[in-house]
Amino acid sequence: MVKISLVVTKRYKKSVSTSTPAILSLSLLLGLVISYVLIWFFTKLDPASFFSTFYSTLASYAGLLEPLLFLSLLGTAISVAFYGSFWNVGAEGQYVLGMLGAIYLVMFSPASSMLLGSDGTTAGVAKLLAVALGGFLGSLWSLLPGVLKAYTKIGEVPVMLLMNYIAYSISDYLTAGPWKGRYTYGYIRTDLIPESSKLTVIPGFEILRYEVVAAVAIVFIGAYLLIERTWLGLEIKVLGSNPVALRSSGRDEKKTIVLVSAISGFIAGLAGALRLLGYDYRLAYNIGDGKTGFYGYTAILVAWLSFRDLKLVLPSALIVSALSSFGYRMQMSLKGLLPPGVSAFAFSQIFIGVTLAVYTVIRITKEYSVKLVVAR
Amino acid sequence: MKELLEWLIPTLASAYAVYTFTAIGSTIVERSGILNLAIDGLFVLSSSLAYTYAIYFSIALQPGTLATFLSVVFTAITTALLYSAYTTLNTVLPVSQGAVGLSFMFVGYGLGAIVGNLGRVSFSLYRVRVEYIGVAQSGAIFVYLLVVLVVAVVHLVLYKLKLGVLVRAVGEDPRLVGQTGISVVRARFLSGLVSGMLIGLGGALFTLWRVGGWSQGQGLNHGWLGYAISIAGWRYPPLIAIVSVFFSLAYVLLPYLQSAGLPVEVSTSAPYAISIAAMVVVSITHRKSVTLLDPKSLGRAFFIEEQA
Repeated sequence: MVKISLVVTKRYKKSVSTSTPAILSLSLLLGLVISYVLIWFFTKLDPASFFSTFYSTLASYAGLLEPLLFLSLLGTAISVAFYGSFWNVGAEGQYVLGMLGAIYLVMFSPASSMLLGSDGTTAGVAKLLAVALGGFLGSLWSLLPGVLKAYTKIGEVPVMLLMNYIAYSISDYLTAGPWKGRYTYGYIRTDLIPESSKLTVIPGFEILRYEVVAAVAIVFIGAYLLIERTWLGLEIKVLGSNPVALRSSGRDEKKTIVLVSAISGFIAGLAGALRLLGYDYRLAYNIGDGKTGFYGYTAILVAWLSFRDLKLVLPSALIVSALSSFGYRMQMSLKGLLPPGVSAFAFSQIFIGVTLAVYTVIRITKEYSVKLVVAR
Repeated sequence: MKELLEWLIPTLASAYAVYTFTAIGSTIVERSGILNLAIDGLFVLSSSLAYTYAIYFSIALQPGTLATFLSVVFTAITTALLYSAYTTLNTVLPVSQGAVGLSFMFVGYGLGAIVGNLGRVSFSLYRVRVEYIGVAQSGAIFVYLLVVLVVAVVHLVLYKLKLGVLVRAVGEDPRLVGQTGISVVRARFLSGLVSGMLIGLGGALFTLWRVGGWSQGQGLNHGWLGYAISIAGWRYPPLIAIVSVFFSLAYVLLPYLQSAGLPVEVSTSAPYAISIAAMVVVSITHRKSVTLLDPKSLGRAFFIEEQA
């Protein structure tokens, strides 16, 4: 009788083949190949069309800039939490809360008319406050699972996933109720935010906003300094790698969990606020029906690809932006070659899911050596 | 009142069957220590598979009860195979269960859209009539009995038989079980098969009975609803059977609650809020109850030097 077994052993030496960039590249390549096989099984699409469309998606970088910026922000938010083994799968909900905070401040708060008056001189302050409020609400939304994890030992993952749907409902309630717009052509949505509260378009790059680019730079550098240069960053890293050591050193483990959840939620909320002020300009009903672009979920892949290495967030965000844009590009450029009804949504989900699965499996080779043994 | 009951009893039966089977399926897989984040994607995929199988079987065999029955069976089998692959992958390699779960979720959404559209294309070519499931008031009673019977059997197996105790032991401490010479992989493979079968059954009944058709994105969030019921019922089958009545009732009565003035957003988010509250209550009140608390190894990567 033949006995097949997987021998998994701890790895103590590092090698080039198990370095993060090598694993990242291999995952992307294998992810694409497996996705192609899956899609071929249903559509019989030829490989040349598939891979040349992926190449052209990467080459047309302009279309990737907007998802790149938001996935970088959200990827940073989730990565900071990952350092402390706080699995922030609730960035989607925090992102929505950030949108709510921003629109409240520029449209519905008592301060809105004062700050966004006719001369618009205080508009900058209003935008700053709106983004800060968005971050604050995102932070509050993330605090609940953080506190539950720290003080009741309830796992943050199911709590956050469920809270994402509650966030959608809160947004829908406000959009269809107290915040429902008057000038919406029959659609259930809010009115557009005041012109003076919109973020500033960079001339020549219609897709970019000065404030968003600046926020990405500030958040990225800030997160890097926090993790690498501060006591709190060190505590977060020890919490993620060896919580017993953190407790033994007399540090408050619970406080660190709560803080890391709040910081991560703040960045995700901030991203939501920037999205609303810079691109969406209003809230639409049924926000959970893809109106967020599911960036909060997609960014989990960014954080996974750059696992506990902030320097890799940007390249990972670029890969994920390409994967999610790839589906839409395929639908546009291969229209006649695909069966009717097969959607860009389907392709994007498959690319993202398969790449994440492949990466998750290959990544274990960083810590473990896996051998297939066949014995008689 | 009589009219309301005539409508409510069979309508509630469909929701109760869908969500209870899904929640019980999720419970089995999580009791074996595997975090079930794949549930929504695989529920979406199974609801699409049921539709496409129904179209294909109706073309191949003639529309009718047999075609519908076979599509339910094949959906349950396919989902069972996918779930056993999911639990096996999470056991043979020390991978992050959260990441694997989410990747299965994404792939499930994507494949669900493709598979369902394939069925729709065949439907528009052959114009075949699918016989969807319909249950009258008298038949609904048997559905309730069947669901309760399934819950009772799962409970009996999980808590009274050696096999179920083994599955739960694997969920608590897989290393210890592995050291006694029992295969953790086999135990989790088996729990994946049974869970997948029940979740697939839920997805199939959702499409072929509750909705009676298919559109892209169908089933989205309904897997999470099953997950929420499982958590709110503290992953304990008898409690799940009770909690599921309230969740299903709330879901079925949604349009009525709306017309009575309750915002739809409150009723749709209530199950999720209740689930979180249930988790908090159980963690505070039952700190030492092994029966109700989370399995200790839930979501933890499993590593043992040699795995067969």
